[in-house]
Amino acid sequence: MGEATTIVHCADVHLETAFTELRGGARRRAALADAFVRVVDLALERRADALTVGGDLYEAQRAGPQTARFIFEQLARFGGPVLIAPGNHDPYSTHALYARDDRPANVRVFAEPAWSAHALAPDVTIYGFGHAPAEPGRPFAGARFDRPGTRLALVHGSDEDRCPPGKRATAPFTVAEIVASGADCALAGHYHGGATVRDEQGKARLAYPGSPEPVKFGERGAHGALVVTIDGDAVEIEHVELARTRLIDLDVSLDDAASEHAVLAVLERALQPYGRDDFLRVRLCGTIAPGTRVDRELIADRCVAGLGALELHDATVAADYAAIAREPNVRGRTVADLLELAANGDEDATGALRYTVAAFAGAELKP
Amino acid sequence: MRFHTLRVDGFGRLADRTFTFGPGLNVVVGPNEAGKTTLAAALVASLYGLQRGEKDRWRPWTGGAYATVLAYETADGARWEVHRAFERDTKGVRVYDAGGADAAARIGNGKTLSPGDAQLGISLDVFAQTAYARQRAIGLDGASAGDVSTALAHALDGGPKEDAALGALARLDDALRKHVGTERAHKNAPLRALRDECQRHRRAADDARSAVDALAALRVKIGNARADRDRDAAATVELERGVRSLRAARLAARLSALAECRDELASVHSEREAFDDVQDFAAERVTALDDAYHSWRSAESVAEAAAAALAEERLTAAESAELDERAADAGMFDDDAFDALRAAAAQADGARARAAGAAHDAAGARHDLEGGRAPAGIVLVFALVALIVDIAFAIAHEWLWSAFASVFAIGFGGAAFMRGSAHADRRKEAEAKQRTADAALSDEQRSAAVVAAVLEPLGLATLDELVRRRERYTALRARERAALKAEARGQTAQAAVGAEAERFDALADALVSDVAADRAVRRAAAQLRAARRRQRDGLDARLAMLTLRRGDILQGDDDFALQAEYDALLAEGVVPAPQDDSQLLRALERERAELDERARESEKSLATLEGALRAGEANVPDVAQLDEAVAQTQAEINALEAFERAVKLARRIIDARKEEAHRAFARRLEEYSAGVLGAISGGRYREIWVDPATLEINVRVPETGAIEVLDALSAGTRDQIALVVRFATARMFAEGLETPPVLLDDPFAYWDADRVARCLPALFHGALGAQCILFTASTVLAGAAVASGATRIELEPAAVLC
Repeated sequence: MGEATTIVHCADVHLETAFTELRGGARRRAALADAFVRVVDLALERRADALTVGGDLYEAQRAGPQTARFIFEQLARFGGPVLIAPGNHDPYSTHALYARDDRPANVRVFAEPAWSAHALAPDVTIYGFGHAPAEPGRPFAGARFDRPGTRLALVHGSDEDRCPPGKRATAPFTVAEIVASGADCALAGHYHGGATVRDEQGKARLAYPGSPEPVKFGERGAHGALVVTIDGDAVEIEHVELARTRLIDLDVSLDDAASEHAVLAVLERALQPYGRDDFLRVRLCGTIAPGTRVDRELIADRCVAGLGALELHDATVAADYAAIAREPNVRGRTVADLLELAANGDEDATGALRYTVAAFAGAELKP
Repeated sequence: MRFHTLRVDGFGRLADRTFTFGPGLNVVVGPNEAGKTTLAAALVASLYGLQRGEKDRWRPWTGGAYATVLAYETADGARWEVHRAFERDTKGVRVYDAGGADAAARIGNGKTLSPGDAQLGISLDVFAQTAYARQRAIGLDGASAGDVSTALAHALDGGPKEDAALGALARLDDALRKHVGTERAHKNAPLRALRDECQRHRRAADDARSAVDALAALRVKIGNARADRDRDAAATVELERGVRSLRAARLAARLSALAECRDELASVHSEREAFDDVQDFAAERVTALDDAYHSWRSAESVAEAAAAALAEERLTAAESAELDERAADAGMFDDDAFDALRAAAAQADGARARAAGAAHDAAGARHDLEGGRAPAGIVLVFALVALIVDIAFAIAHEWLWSAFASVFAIGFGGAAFMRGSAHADRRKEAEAKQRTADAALSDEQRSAAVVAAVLEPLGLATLDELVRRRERYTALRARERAALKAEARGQTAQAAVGAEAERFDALADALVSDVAADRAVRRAAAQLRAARRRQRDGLDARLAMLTLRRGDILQGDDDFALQAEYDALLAEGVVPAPQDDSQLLRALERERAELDERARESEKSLATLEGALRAGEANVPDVAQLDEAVAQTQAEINALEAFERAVKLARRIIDARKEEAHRAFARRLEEYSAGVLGAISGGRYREIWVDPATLEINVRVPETGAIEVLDALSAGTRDQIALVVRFATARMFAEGLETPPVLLDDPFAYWDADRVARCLPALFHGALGAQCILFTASTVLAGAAVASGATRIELEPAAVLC
């Protein structure tokens, strides 16, 4: 019986992502890079025998020379074997960063959409499958892993059983296919929320580490890396949280706020628990007093200083539309018409209500 | 609203006067220029203030205080007082409630304080168009129709006191213009500017992506170039190994050749030593010696030949004597004379021949002549006989036979004639030939005489003898000349022999001075020496050739250097090629040179590419940031577009509802008006339509049934209907707003009595709902109104400043 083999596995770092939902993209990109440094730190700290990357390490459309230098510097810093299975965002090609001739010698990239074996230890084999620019199909279709010892599959793809509704699966597979291939466990990437899927015996069969930092709003699950320990036949998976940033959607009610000062006060209270590592999308809702100014630029200016970024969406209602709709005048009839349209799903009608009331009230109209 | 009192401190021609008004109809009566219009204007100015440009118009004539105080009551029973000091413009207005408290805060609107706007809820313009009818301006001004209809709609809406739909629409339009822009605007088109900005960001992002991709491609290219360079370097090493091996073989071959050459040189040097005795022999002069010898020998031959020829040509004694004899006879003729003589002889022969021929011809001709006579005579006889026969037949009337005889007679006659002619010709010919013969004979005789004259003195019988003798003379004379020439040649040849001998001897003395023998021997000695000298020269040539060959082998190199180079190659472990193949060596060296050149080019190209890569990597754009800029700009565009859609939707619905409201009030106005109109028009006009937007009035003309616009009717009818509409308008204001007092400044000035009479009920009817103040100069109208309960207010001339 040899010593246990330790692997640190990460995926979906998405270096050089463009963050289009919210401002503060540069800071978040820096946070992604910091997270990757922490992954390598974890690997060094745990004296890992290998560092594996399950794809989407960087965004191929945007990564340039400095991204390459950073990645290679970190991988070289690890020093041990690094195995990379490119994903759909960083597929292998002659132009890929992985193809550069200054790639560190300890890095092996699974460059083809076909399984290749890498003997990490006499009794531990990692089979890797890499994405090329074209869609690779089902990675585990027809796969057979038969080397002695523990067999781990390193791949970037969608667990069909967990695919979110309406989302297109990329390189799909099922846990059954993993088992049928002979792999003991698949170390995967693609889903940004980390999770481990176990069989009835509690054996880990599929593990996603999750992205080290959240990339999009609404991502659920762990964000960090996996420490995989192979001891004989046993494969243990430990999730290690590494994320420091949070992406938060927050509804703030401005009910009865009668002045701009009140609006600011409510927001400051609501945002007080958050800090520089929090990136917030705040939806202002509720019914405010007519004529109450909700100046998003002023609010952002006042509140963003202590936050990573702040995006405001004003969904407040400035009047009692139902009451106005009962007025026997042009304004009332107009509001009634718009309420009916809004009830039928016309999204423009909601904004039209606000602007109608403001226009009749003589208030300034702003987008 | 109902006016109670108006105190005029000073307003136009009015000064220090207080007017009290009752509810319902009031009649202000006074003559022209009494101040009726001034009073009406003072009431309006008290409510609304003076319009721009009117301040000087209504300045008090007295020069005193320019002020009024209007006390009025609103529909809710509240009492108010408006104090106006017109000199101070908007600062000169105070409004007090019944308790004397300043009501500015309650009815003011920001900086302005206008009881008319605030409490009537309609602007001055709308008031003037509806509640205030001036002389000859009873009809509504179309330009103000929009404001009036809006105010009416507002009144009917019963809505808030804020601006109605028009104001809202204007704000929506302003917001669109300000935040979105219009399609035609070149400046201040925010949405278009955002779209342009988004486009720029997108292009920048695409360019950045292309730049990053280009850098990646450049890296691949550099990698390939390096691989090519390394491959070429390996090929160069391999090639160099081959080149050195072949070079070693080449050196070995050269060194071997040099050794051979060296040995051969030594051998030739040794052989040449045996010919040192002829080292200085001028072999090139032996040819001249030979020439001289041959010349001498030739000259001798020539001299011998000349002597032989002389012996042959010299005349014997007998021939000399013969020559003398021939000189005396045949020699006396020169060539010309002799030729003439021969010509004469030939001529005589010719003449003789001609004479013989001519005589023969003449004989022949005579013979023919004789022979021809008989045949001609015979033919003539036949002709005569035929003629006689012809005559006989003719006499016998045998015409056919006569014809035949005629033919024969004619034929024979013709033949006889022809023969006769021929005979004559022959005679002539014979005579000519005889003449010719005679001439020829004469010529012969002449020529013969000439020849005879020459031959006879010489005692020769024939010319042939003379010819023979002349030929002999010529031959002897030729021999004599030939002998003389031969003698001369002989002498010359002898001289030449002597000269050539001298020449030879001189040359031989120079070449073989040590040989004393005859010329042949001396010559032979010289030739031998020349031959030896040639041998020596041949050895020298071999030496030169060997030296050249050595030079070719060395090719400018030093043989020690070659050896050293070869030894160095061997010391480096180079294995010489099996054989020297200079062609292959050159080919390999060429190939290596090409590889070297390619390597240099590769290095240069690689340096350029790497430089480009460094430069490119130093300026890599931040693609993610650019993509975010695109997304953010697009989000702003989406927000603005949503804003635009929402505002346009709001606008569309407000506009539709406004139109709907206007249409509604128009119907109400029509309803109001129709009832009263029928009454005051004596039943003529019962149907009326009002355009809600323009307030244009149309009525149905009963006579024709057609609907006519108001302007098409008579002035009086027009005013009548307009008055009714004004009252209807005032009533409508009462529904949602404060009812304004109606001021009618002598509207009936140009009406006839009948029309006025019919209008009075309308006035009273209208005044039921609104206080009405009628200004008139008509005492009759005033009396009728007062009789119906109206309040009379006199404008006495005493109240007027003269």
